[in-house]
Amino acid sequence: MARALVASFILIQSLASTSAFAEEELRELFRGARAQAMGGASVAVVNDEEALFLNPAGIAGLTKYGVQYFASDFEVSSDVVNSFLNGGGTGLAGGLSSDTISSFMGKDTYGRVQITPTVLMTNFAFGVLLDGQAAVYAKNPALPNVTVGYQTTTGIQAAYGVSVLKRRRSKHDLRVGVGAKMLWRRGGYRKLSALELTSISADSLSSIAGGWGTGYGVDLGVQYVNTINQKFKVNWGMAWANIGDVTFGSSDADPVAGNLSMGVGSTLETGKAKITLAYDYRHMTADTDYRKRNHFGAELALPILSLSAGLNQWNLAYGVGFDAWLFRITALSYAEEIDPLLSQDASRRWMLKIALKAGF
Amino acid sequence: MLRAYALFFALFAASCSAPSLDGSTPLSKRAALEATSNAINFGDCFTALQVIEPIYESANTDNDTRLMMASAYGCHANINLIPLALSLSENTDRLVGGDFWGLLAELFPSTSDDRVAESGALANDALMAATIPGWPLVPANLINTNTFNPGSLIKSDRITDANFYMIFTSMATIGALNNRYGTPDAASNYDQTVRLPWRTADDVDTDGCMYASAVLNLVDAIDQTSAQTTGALQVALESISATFGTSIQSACDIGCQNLDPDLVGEWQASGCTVTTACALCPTALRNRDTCMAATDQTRCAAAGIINFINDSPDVAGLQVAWPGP
Repeated sequence: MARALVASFILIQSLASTSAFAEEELRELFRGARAQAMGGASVAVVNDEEALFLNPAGIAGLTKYGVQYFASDFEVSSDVVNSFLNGGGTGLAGGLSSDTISSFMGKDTYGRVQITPTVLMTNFAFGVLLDGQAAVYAKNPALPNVTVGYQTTTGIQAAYGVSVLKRRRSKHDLRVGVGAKMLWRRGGYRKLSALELTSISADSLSSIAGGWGTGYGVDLGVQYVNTINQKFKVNWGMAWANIGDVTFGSSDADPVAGNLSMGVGSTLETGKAKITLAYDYRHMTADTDYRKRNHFGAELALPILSLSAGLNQWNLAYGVGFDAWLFRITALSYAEEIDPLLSQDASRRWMLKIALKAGF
Repeated sequence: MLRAYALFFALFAASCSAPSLDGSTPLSKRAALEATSNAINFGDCFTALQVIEPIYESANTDNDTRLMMASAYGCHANINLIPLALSLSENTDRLVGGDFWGLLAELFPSTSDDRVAESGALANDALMAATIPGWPLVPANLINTNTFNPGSLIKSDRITDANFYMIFTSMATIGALNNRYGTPDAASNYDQTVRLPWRTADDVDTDGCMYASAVLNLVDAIDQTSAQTTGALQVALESISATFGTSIQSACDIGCQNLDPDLVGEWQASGCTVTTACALCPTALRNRDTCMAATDQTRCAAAGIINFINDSPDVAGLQVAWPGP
């Protein structure tokens, strides 16, 4: 096992910074509420509907059928929350103009809606992704450095996972999984020059968004579950999402960057409680500060309540979930670095997930 | 199993080092640029300059670094670009005619030791170095050739963003020097109460050259970029260009030829000893250092510009001089 870890680490280092895209904010195609509440750590331990997007090997850990026929995540940055609490709104009521851009100066204004209904079976999962994001990051009033985000993504994704060792009646489990996706995207995040800023208008959003493009992606994943005893398991996992990046043809839509992640975790079941610990090293091929790749998380899952906490890129994350069989609500907060280095500019965000589901 | 995980952590921790801001890698340069922006965001112009200057003065410099260097100086020059652009758009009536000089004094208050004017000029140095990649540059038009940031005095050699920002950095220099030397009266629409002192070639000193070069760079920058702006800002910039673009060139020529176009007024002949006509303002006048170091002609042209601002006769019935004594 140690040799396997060393070998995988050497492989990772050889692949480090091979992405074609310089990434300041390490954007994710999918943000799962449970994983994000755990500081973004999930690769080794995910075994629910989020595995469809985070690590297809986790699909092999599904033990029952289920449908999340409505799963919606709402996410905003702290500056948006503070603006509303102070009665200011988002400042966009009057439309996009130089004046409104000036009001955004020094703020990280971000909002996202993500809808992901999923169907889960043993070894197989299928889901739909609907995602809309808008953002304005503005700084440097002397010569404005402004990034405007305006992006819509729709897609379908399927994943298949299988337990290799369980078939051989081993107490341990080696799961492998593969996922495929088809996405349609429009828009992205654009840095505007000072000249463009002084000419910006509501019509500018259309030019930022551009046309729709279609892209295809493949995910691979593996999880190794080492069963120490009936209650305690130690996990290792690796996932490569969006292998080779998902690009959208000739459209201007931002590509979905590949995400190679590795992680470890453990689960301890004590009666009605389950404690999960996890650590991920994510975005290993991105040209970014290595410290931003670190994610730590912990979860205490009780029958209908779960408490989570962690460090997302060394920034505190925490959340609480309420699961009442037919619906689940999760509220959480995390911070995401939007500058190249750790601690340059962490955007605090607030997320609410509402899911209606049925399992059998 | 635990030994395996410990080995994993030890390996990755040992092989990595914390990124720096020295600009030696693409990541560190991006980080330095963002760090400079963040500092300016908090009004910390000193930290902004401290972060970007080492990269600007190194072989790792590039156009992004030069623009950021200019913005660090712009911070010191109290430039808040979007509100400034909006102010110009909202004061178009003061852009047509001599009130323009008072408007700049109003937008850029300054005292003799606050370095607002100097910061604008230093920003222009950085912006002149932001040339179009791959574009052939004529050596005779280059400045600072012994540095990593050789600059071009020719507006068409520079990237659009550099010319656009030069509009505002030049305004900062002009406005600040108007405050220092023209003693504008805030109660009277910022009309000058004292004439700018650089009325002859002998009177033109480093501040006079700084002023004249800023005026010329302003005209150049507007001429090069106004067509790419839109709306009220375009109207504002084109008003400035229409009022002063041609007149400034004529003022240079009057200075070069040691003429006095207003024999009964306050315009002073430059006293130029080499009376060669300059149909266009000398290229060297665009740089305050070459202005001082060159022959009489550049300082003569500078004196012509100053006299134009102080005491120009009306042009087509429009007062273009800064109203004052």
